[in-house]
Amino acid sequence: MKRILSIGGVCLLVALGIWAWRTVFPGDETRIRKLLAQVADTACLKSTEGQLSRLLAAGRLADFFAPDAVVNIDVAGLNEKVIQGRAELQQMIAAARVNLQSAEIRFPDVQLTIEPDHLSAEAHVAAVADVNGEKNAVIQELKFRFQKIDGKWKINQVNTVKTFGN
Amino acid sequence: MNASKTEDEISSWWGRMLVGRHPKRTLARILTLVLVVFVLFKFVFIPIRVEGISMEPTYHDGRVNLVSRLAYVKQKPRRGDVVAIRVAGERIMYMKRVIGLPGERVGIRRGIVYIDGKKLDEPYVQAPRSHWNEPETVLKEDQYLVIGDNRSMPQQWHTHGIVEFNRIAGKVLF
Repeated sequence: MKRILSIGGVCLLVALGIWAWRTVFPGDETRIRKLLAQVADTACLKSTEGQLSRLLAAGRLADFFAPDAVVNIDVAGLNEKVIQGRAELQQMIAAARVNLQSAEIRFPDVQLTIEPDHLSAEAHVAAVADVNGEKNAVIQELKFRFQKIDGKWKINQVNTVKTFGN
Repeated sequence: MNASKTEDEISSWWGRMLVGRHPKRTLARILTLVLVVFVLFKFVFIPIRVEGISMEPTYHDGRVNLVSRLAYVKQKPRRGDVVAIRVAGERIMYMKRVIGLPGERVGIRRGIVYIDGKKLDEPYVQAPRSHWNEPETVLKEDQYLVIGDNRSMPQQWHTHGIVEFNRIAGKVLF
């Protein structure tokens, strides 16, 4: 019995050690997933939020992107649009947020591939947005490309993906 | 034999309530149950909850269902099958009905679906139908036309179109 207890204790200590190591030094996958969660969280918009707060959030959202980031938007019902650079992106986000009442955004499905050089990565994401409290959520498939810049992961490209063809 | 049985058995009523008369057997049953549930929901079924109105009146918002992953292992989707379509994983999927099959010429005129020039009988669609229009197109190998049952919705609000077979996660069971 003592032997079983001591083996159990050692296993518990090893598991705790691994958990602590991963918490203090998260891997690239954990960092990118956390980045995406922060993007979704920052993109959310409450109806009670004031204009200044909305503009500040647009700045925070743009900070997740690389300075030369490119966003390609091609979705049904909207004109195709290419946004180039963080400055233009921030303006677009700010304009969009001013016109919205509220938005709840989440990324429930994230399929992540990290390149062998650990300097770039790609995520295939299902984005769900509850806009202006409407009952039917908007679902959009997205592809994110990430780049490690000065040791930090930044989004350098976002493409919308059409789930259904015509 | 009797003595060892007595040792293994739990005699107090609260103990029996908690872990049964034979704790080892209870543990074995729990482990078996966990294993069966894990295998079923990892490799056989995907539990889903319907959100939205695009499959009404067949499926209502909030209804719970199961998707069979194995339905299309040996056979391909058939017209009329209700299927789950992957977006980027299996937490968010679309539920649609298979309307057009690979190689068919499909199109919609004034809300009526035409397959190879013939009007498709769709008993699951209830009136009134919106006057949807889609130009005729020939589906490539491995392509399926999928649409929800609610055709009273305006066309631009109803997500539908052509998907490749690898996007189909499975068949909705009931």
